[in-house]
Amino acid sequence: MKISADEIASVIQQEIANFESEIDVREVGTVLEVGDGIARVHGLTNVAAGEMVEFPGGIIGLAFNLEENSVGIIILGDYLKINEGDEVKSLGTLLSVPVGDGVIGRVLDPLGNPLDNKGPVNSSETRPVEIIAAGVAERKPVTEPMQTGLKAVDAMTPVGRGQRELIIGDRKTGKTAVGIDAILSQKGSGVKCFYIAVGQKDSSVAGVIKELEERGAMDYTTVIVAGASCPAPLQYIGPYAGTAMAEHFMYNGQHCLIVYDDLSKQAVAYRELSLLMRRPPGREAYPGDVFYCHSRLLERSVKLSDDLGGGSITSFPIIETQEGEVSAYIPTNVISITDGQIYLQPDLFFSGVRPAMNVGISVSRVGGAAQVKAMKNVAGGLRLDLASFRALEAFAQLGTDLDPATQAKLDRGYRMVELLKQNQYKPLSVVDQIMVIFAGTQGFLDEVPINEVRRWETEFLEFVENKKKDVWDLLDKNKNEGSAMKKKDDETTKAVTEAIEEFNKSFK
Amino acid sequence: MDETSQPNVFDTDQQQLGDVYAKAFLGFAQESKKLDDLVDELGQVVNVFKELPKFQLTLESPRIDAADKTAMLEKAFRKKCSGKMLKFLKVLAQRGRFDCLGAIHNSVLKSHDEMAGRVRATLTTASAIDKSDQESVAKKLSKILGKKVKLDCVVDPDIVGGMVVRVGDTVYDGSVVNQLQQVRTKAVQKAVDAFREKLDKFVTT
Repeated sequence: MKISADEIASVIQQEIANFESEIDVREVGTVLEVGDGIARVHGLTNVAAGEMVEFPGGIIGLAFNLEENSVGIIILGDYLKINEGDEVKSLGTLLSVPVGDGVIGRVLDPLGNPLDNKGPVNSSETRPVEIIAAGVAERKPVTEPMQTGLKAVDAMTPVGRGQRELIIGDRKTGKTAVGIDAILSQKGSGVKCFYIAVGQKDSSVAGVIKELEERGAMDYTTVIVAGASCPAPLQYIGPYAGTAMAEHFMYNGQHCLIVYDDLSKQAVAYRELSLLMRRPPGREAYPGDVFYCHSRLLERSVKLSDDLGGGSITSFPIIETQEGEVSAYIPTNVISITDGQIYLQPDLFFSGVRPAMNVGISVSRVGGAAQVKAMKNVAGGLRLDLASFRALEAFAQLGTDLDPATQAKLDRGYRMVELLKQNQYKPLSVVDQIMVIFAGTQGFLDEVPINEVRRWETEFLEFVENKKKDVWDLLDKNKNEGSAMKKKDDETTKAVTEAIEEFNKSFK
Repeated sequence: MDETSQPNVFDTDQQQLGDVYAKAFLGFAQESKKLDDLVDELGQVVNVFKELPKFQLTLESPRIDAADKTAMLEKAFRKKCSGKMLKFLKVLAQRGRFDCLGAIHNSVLKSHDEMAGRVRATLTTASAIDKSDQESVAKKLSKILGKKVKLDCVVDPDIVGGMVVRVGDTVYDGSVVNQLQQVRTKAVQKAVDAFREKLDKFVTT
């Protein structure tokens, strides 16, 4: 393949021939001081907050602070190339990023520049990075399910399209894994996924990208990286830029899933900027508007009304806590903004319960309405059952003799806990989940030894796939019926029960 | 370029103080009905201090007593400048604001121009132009802006040709270098767009 230079030359020649010189009128200022990703500029009298400015060499900045005698600029680029006394030009536009199908499957920085050596982003459309979220009239309640592929999440804290579900936990408790599994689980569903890495080690981001590529998830995923080596301004705008890219699809009637990994690092970057800009520090030295920083971001995750095409953005913001301290400033803020949280606990994680979700304090405030009906019927009482199991378990540790009923309850509980464990990168379809959880809650596993439960699950699902495809299809067809799996004499319930009983006979 | 009118480096706090003192200075000058003279005189005094930076440092130093500073000023400027100017300098010395002298001067010039309905404009050209051309530019600008224009001329060969006029924070750029840059960005953009539309037109196998 050759590229013909003559053709290019002719295009350029045409452009030069048609060039009309215009006097360029611009507003300028002078750099007073520069450092740590920010600059203070004198002049730029009519610049607006959030407006783009350009330094010599094409470096872009954003007007952040408008003061009496100077303007504080955050620099989105290499600030080491800017000198005191340089001329700054205001561009009169807001920061925008490329959007459209061209960004899918790419690894980009927060300004939309490619980081994956796959050439420029092939997109002619752009969207402003910061917009005001859709208002009340433009929204619709959350009604469609967003499957994460994780049994524990889909059964007990179901997430709907347009919901914000916080993933919160200490370091090394599998927060990113939950987000990645949710992305993997969107394969074939048409949902566009965005993984926004903020302040993460580049090595872990590279690992995530490799995993997504190997499992074929990059066909519908965009990764936006503002790693730990990026200057604070880029880390700060990363989540907004990713949301802008997702909004393009949402306003075209499509569905998107965004994983913000993680917002505590973004808050730290924002704190850094604000302190450098000499905004007054508040609690934990965060600026007063750090709540607004997160709320305006997460408000953009929306289920749009039918008039606007009914698209949605579902988001999984991640927050890292220190020593399980959920009452710190940023965690409480984001908990109050989101529509529920999945709380991951280190002790569960290390005792082998993975995903290490603490069922008691994990909630989903709006997802219930969006849950698949059959799943709702099967897993409705699961949370309470598990909670009473936890209470019983604590009591049983006292070593007292237990009556058979209590013992049976305990045994069931142990099996359910075992059943809710799931390997990483192995999202399950909702039909598989319903069947497995049905088997657990209805006591079909009571005879299976606890350490065999997971083998039972794998082999049962294989059995269904190979020999009982008709049952699987039936459940898939009826899963949204309110009556499905509700009563024992329901058609679907009967079919599933029979399949389980048949498998149990052969299970050794 | 007149360095005082377009400062490259300054302290915004100092500028704020400078604005206050400048207002006071102009008020006092207006009352005594010698506004233009006093503004000119201030410029001369500032130039003196520019030539004698050590003298200014001495007057700025907080380690030297205010009384000594006044005595020094008295010796240096008595009979060489007007009594009103001397008074002003003494006040500055006594209040320990001598470091703001530059900022005060900037502010005075700006406000003085404003009061007289004048604006300062900087004209940048690639090579020096003669007085008559300067005047015609100034006249044209005055017409457009509706104010008297005081032109500062700068020669900057980097702009290749044409001219650049700066009024306040607004730059009217008609330089050749800027036009070349515009051609370049537009041509590149056009080529990229054409590429995107019809890649096969450019590719021969």
